[in-house]
Amino acid sequence: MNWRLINWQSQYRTLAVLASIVIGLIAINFMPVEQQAIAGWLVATTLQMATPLVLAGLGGMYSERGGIVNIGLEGIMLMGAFTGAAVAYYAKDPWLGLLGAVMVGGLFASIHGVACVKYKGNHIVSGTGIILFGTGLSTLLLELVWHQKGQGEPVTNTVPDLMFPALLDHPFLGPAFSVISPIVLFMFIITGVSWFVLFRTPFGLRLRAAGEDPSTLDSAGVSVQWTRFIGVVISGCLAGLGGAYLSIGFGSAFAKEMTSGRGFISLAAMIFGNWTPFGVLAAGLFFGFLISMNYFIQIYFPILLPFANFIAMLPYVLVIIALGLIRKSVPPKAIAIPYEKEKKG
Amino acid sequence: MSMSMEYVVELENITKTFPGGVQANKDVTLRIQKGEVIGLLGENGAGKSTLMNMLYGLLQPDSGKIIINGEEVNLKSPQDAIVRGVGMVHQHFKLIPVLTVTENVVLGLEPILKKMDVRSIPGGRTIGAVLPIDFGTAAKRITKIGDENGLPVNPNSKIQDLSVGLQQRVEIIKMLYREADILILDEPTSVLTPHEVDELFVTLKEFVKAGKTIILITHKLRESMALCDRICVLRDGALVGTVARDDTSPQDLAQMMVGRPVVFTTEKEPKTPGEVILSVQDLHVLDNRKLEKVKGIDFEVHAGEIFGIAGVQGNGQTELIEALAGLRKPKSGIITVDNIRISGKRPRFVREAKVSHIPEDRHKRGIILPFTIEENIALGNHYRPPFAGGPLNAVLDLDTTHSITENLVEQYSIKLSSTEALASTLSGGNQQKVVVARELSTKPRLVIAAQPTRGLDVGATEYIHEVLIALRDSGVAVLLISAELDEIQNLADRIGVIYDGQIVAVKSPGEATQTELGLLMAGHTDEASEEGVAIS
Amino acid sequence: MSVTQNPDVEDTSDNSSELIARIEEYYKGVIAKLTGEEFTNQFYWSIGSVLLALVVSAVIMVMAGYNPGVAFVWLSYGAITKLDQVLWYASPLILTGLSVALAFRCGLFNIGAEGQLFMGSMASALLAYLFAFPIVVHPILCLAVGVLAGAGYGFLAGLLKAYRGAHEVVTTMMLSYIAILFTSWLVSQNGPFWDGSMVPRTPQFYDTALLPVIFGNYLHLGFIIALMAVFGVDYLINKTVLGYEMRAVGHNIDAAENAGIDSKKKVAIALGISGGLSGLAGSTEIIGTFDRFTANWSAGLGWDGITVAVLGNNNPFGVLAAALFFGALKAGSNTMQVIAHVPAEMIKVIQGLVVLFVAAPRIISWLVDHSQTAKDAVEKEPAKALPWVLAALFGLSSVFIALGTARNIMVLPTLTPMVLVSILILVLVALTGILVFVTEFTHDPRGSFLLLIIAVGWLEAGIAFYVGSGTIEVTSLIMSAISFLFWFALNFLAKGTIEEGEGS
Repeated sequence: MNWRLINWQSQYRTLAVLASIVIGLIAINFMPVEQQAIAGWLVATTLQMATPLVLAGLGGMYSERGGIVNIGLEGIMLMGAFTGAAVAYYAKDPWLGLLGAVMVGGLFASIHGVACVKYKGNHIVSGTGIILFGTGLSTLLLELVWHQKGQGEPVTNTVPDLMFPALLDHPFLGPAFSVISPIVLFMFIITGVSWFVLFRTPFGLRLRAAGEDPSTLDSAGVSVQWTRFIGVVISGCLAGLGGAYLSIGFGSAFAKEMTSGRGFISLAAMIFGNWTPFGVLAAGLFFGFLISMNYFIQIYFPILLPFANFIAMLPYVLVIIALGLIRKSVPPKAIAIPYEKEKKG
Repeated sequence: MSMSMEYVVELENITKTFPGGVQANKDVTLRIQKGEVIGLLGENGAGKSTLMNMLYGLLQPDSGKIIINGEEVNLKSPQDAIVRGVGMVHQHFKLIPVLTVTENVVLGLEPILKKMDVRSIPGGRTIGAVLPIDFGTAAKRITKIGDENGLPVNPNSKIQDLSVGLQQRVEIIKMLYREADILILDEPTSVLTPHEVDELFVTLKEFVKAGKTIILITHKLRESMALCDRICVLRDGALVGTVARDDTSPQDLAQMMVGRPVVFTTEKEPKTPGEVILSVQDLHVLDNRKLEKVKGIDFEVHAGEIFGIAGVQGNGQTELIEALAGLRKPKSGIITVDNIRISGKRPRFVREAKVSHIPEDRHKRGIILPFTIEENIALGNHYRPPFAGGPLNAVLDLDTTHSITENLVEQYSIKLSSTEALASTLSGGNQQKVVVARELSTKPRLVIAAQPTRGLDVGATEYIHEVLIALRDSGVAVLLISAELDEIQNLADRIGVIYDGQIVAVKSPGEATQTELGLLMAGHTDEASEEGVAIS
Repeated sequence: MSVTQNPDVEDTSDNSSELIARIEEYYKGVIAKLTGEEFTNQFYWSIGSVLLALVVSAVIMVMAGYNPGVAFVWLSYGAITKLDQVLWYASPLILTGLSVALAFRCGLFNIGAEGQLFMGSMASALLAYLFAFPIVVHPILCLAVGVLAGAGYGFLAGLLKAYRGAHEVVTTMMLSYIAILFTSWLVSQNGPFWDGSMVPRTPQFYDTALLPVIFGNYLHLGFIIALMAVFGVDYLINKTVLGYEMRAVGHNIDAAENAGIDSKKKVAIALGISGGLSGLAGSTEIIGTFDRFTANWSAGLGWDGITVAVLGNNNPFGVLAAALFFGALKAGSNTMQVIAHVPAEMIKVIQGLVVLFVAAPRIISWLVDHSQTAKDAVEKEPAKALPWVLAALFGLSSVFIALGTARNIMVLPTLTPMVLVSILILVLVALTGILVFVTEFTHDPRGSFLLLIIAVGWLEAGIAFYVGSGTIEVTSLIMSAISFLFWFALNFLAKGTIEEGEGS
């Protein structure tokens, strides 16, 4: 591997992140025991809240790196959440549920892909259609499967958590990491894998080329349509998984419109993370932290409760500040532009 | 069968019509021998690039046969052409600025780390798409190719940090990396200085010696005469003829290109210039990346004079024009028109100072394609009578716009179906006429004409030349910026040569030859203009 | 049209006849536009999208075990009998649709109409319950304040776009969520405008602030305001200098700047006006339909505005038609739910499908083009072309049959894992059916291979079902046999034609 290709700045950034994690852990270690427990709880909640955001955000990144805007993540997540719950409910197997969610997510995204890539539709219009369709269909199917309005029956076979009994006694690591969902771990793995795929493999190179300048990719003899389409399908698979985490990983039932805007926050995380895997991870964790702060104040600082709405606003405000004032994010150049081969005439 | 073995490429009866109904190629037959340099000569829009895009697999012919190395092929994508040894350098480079040289070169043909290369087993190509690229080996090979062919380049630098000449080098390395032996070069010299062109030609001649075949697309007579063994001339999508270089002359080629004898000069009366209209003093302008592109320019344009600015693209012309038109704030310096200071003012203020601007990129700045012709005629003056009326001039006067448009259409003989048709339905020449008609109908004091004839056929070019000369004769100051030396020499009363953001010399067309101007454009000052001086 | 206009012209005095002539001319212009090729094409596209969406939603209904025929009958019955409800539902959609459409004409995608609507309605609500004004003045002031609040909120996104380059799709979306959270905080028990009840809402408005009902039980003056807005926006876009400049910026920002148009200002103004229209939508609803501001009162009126604008092709009159269509769907959905027992969520599915089909107009041109080619081919050489067309239709029908079979299996009491597998295979068969339709319809040679796949798929589904439940599923076996037949016939035919081609 050629290390010279990695620019130095990003290495410094990695070092800084690692250093702050270490310093944070040391600092926590010196805190009183009960505060360590609270910190551990906060970390665990942050990870739970961040997982769907990061998964869907990474999905959005695959799509947008290839040049297709996917604002339909919200609808795809809902369908993923429903499918996960429904399959786990019927088949009594959470893993089949996750598989189903991934497949349905990919299928839904492929509708978006066909509309945008093959038929050169407007990405945002088509994405809006996916949101409406996904929201409507998941609610309709909810009534059909469980004959209930609003919320489905609880699923008993949810994704089992991983236990690390060795950590249980530690005041901080115990509440933080002793019981952890495999999907949370998968989030970290898939982030690394995404970095590798995007920056080290032929597919990633082609995907980035499709998003920057599709005509160059075309003249290099690679099908722009397929490259972009696969990017969109991957985005749907990840968003579907993110949705399923809500219904059978973290929760244990499907509820009407249970994603409540997470698809949009994950888009924000993607932009905040500058369309890079680790950026999306960091932004997703940060937004997850902000959401978990909401629970935190409910339990530990009820005095601040009146301002819960403002804390919920923070991710959105931060994105606007970041875009409006800092203005660092540079989206792929050919984003949202359908690729037309024969331009003349 | 035995006949066809002599040719590396045979194109037989190729016809191509675009969805919009434009017939780009009509029954073109072309046979190319191994190891020759063949020139594809023709005006803009003659169908040269389309023909070669079909040979490269980017486009598919409607009918006709493509035979490469004696084998009839059906090229569905460039991949099919690449494996048969065809490589192409496009006029607009197919390079991605944010990626490195290595990434750009290997795109589509990525080497996989040797231990993991599974592409030979069935289905391995799909799996290979997510295996690690061997960047190290690729970079080594690029360096090697560059060194062997005298094209050194750093494989780890990003394309956006390279100069245009180096970018072209990367394009050529890209072809060699794919082991192409049929090289297609589409207008390779349009962005190069004369010296860089010479270097390129030396490299190309080396390739021919090594047994490669070169197809050179160009609209410049001189280049085809300098490099090519045989020259094929295309006109309106059809092949006019193929001639050996030694049996022809530039005049003959020109006649073949345009279909009639060409007068290389436009008649114009001598005229004494009047008072100063445009005055530019010590102008400095930055580009989008905050680099100084115009580095202290001074010149004046008088009434009744055409002042031509000659130079290779990218030497600050675009930034100069944008500063003059009010589209870009200069860093420092003073621009006045009729003693009104316009530097740093908005485009509307500049227009109200009676400055008209024929933009260099018609589709980018000149015309709004989804607007009707009437709406395009009003553009720029739409906010004031006679185009607008009502309280505070807030309402469009559509009737007046219609009658003004009818008049201009007749005056400039613009061919259209209706004045309410969309501008996108017009041909390029007629679109340019709409822009010219609009810009000149406001009785300007100064006309900035940037590349006014780019992409136009000979008829439209001559017409626009006549209009510019008529303007000059009526006492308007004209600033002509063009990359075509012939155009500048024919029209201008004085020629300023721009190089690296500065006007390096001002000559009258009589006193400077094309060679001298060419050397000046490449950065030579008068003292060092002898042949053979090394250029950094 | 001009025939019916003529008597009016004769009746009026000379002074106003000029005005009437102008109106007539405007009318003719509208008619000419309506009959123009561009508009009719768009019209067919929209109608085609709606029809396709209805077909697909009928399939979904069949899958879900409802009777689409009955559902559609009651849907349309409900829409026709409850005209006042249709118009009532449509009026805010017209305004939010205009809001999105106007921004779009300036090249901007305002997907935050929802937030602007909340800000507008909140401002009106405050004026409506905090201050007392005389009867006519009060609603006018409320509306004005609502428009200003919405415009200000849109303008904020416009400023960020124009001067900081922040993409409006992101900022308006984020601002939208901020507005919803902010307004619900304002009326929550921690906020300053809470009425003290269990529900997060404001106290009741003064009666003077409410808009009068003009027709039926629901329809309030807001509909007339929305209608006026349609004409106003049309005039603004097409007849004024501001509209011209906004369109110029939307189509080609560089050319607009070269022509001396301040594109940044126009972008900010366009999003401001767009926000104002959304704010107006919120105001008319809050003082027309409601009598107090409740948190999260709008169930996506702003989002629906995007749908309406898209379906109406960003043309003010198209927006009007699309809003009426969606109003009819909404009004009819209640009847459909009560009598045909189809959940009202079905409407959302239909809307989503309409938008998806509108998003890709080329699907419809693809269908039209290839149907024409297929028709010509069948007329010319029926022996050769007919099998292809039949195979395509077979592919399409196997989609429906596969989904139907899957549903029938699903409701069976015996759900063994193998039966689940057969359901999965049937879903895959349905997907392949779509591909078969596409490939056979376009004479793609890969079609015959897909036919083989679908044949095997049907067979596998049948076997899996047999293994799982012990009973034989007849449909899949028959379908499998038919697919094999088609595959044989087409392969034989294809070979025949190739040999013929080589011989000549």
